[in-house]
Amino acid sequence: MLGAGGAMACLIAGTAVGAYLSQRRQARWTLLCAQADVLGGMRLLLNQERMGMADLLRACAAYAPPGECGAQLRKRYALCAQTLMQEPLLGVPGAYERALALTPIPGEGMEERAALSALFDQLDMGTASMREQAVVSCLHRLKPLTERAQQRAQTGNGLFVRLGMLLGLMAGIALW
Amino acid sequence: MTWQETVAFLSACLPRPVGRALAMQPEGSVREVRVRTGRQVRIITWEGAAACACEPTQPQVARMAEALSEHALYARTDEQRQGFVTLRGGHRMGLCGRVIAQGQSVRALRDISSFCLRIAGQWPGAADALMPHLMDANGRIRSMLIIGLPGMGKTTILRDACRRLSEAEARVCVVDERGELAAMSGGVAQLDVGPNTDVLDGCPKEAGLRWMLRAMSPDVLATDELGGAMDMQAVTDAARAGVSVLATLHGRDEHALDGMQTLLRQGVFDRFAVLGAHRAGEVERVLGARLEEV
Repeated sequence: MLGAGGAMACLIAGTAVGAYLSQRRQARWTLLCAQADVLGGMRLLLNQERMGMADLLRACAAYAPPGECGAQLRKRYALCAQTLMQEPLLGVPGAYERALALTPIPGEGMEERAALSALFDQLDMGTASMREQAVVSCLHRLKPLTERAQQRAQTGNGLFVRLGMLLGLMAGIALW
Repeated sequence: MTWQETVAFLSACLPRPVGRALAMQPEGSVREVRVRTGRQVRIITWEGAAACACEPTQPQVARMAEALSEHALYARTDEQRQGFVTLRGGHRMGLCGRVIAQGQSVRALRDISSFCLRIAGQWPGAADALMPHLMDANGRIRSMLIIGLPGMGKTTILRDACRRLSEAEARVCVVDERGELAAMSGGVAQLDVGPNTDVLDGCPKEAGLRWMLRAMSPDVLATDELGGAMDMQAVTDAARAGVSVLATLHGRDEHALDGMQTLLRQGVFDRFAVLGAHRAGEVERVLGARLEEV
């Protein structure tokens, strides 16, 4: 029916779908790693610098790694900083919630969202040491999530591509 | 920072009725904004006080204070321990709340219950009355201490004197410990201290005066609110090095110098300007190095 060209197209499409699904599984891991980099930067800045929270959030964004995930995180932190500057009475948690709603990131899970919201609630009160401790606690909460996401990404990585390729091949043969 | 910029900054951090009331005030008229838990917010002008229809709760007061400090109160505990923090634009926010004490010293301030916002003013010409006393017959700049009560314009006069001397090509170095003289932001002075002025922002006076002396070869060193013996020693050292010093001191009159006999004996200051206690910016009298009338 489709001929050799069609069969080849099915094979390529199946492989592409497999690769996409595999990438989605990896996205959460990549995002959690990027988030850990940013929070590491935040901890450092809280410890070493004495800056307002908007400046601190803007500076944190620079710690996000290159790549799509990093770019999305940078955008979220920059938006949070901007919101805090424009509407200071919102406070840090309010500004973060608004930025979160406006910058959804694919692959982000509910557990890390909850951990980060709890962190941003604590970034509005207490001394620099207390805030730094809140960052450390958040990193502790994110660590097992990152490990689990890494495990899932690594085990499922090749499987999805191979499965996609196989399904594409089968569809190609069936429709030849 | 212009008055419009000040109003925009304050309005974003204060309840809407207060922002609206501030916006209606002409430039230079507002002296203070006082915010207290459960009480009407009051705007103090040179003409009197006006209450705004707004009675904030304690969390709202705390949130306003946080917003005004650009969410940096956590990072400014040393300033808080002195009772106030300097805001963008050089405005000063005095704070009250629950003090966490350690022995006789203040460790932290919690549950902010009220604050007083003192609006910094740029008042070109504020130092006009002092300028003739600042130069001697040979054109040398004299050292001068400006004495006055809080809110009587010491800092405004000092800033204007810096600007005038700087415009006259003197190398002016400002040690701005509390950020009220130049109100630096992003490396740029928000208040005009002159084109030939270097500012050391946030540095303790004693260290800052020595720093400027070593690093910037100043003609004039300017600093606000001399306090402890260390400040006095640094000022004395600067004067000995041949640099003119402009500074301010809290006090009603020259009796504020009673505990500073060394300063007088060594003739660190050539002139003492005493400000009036009733009208801001009014120079009541100028005294010589031995407190004689000049």
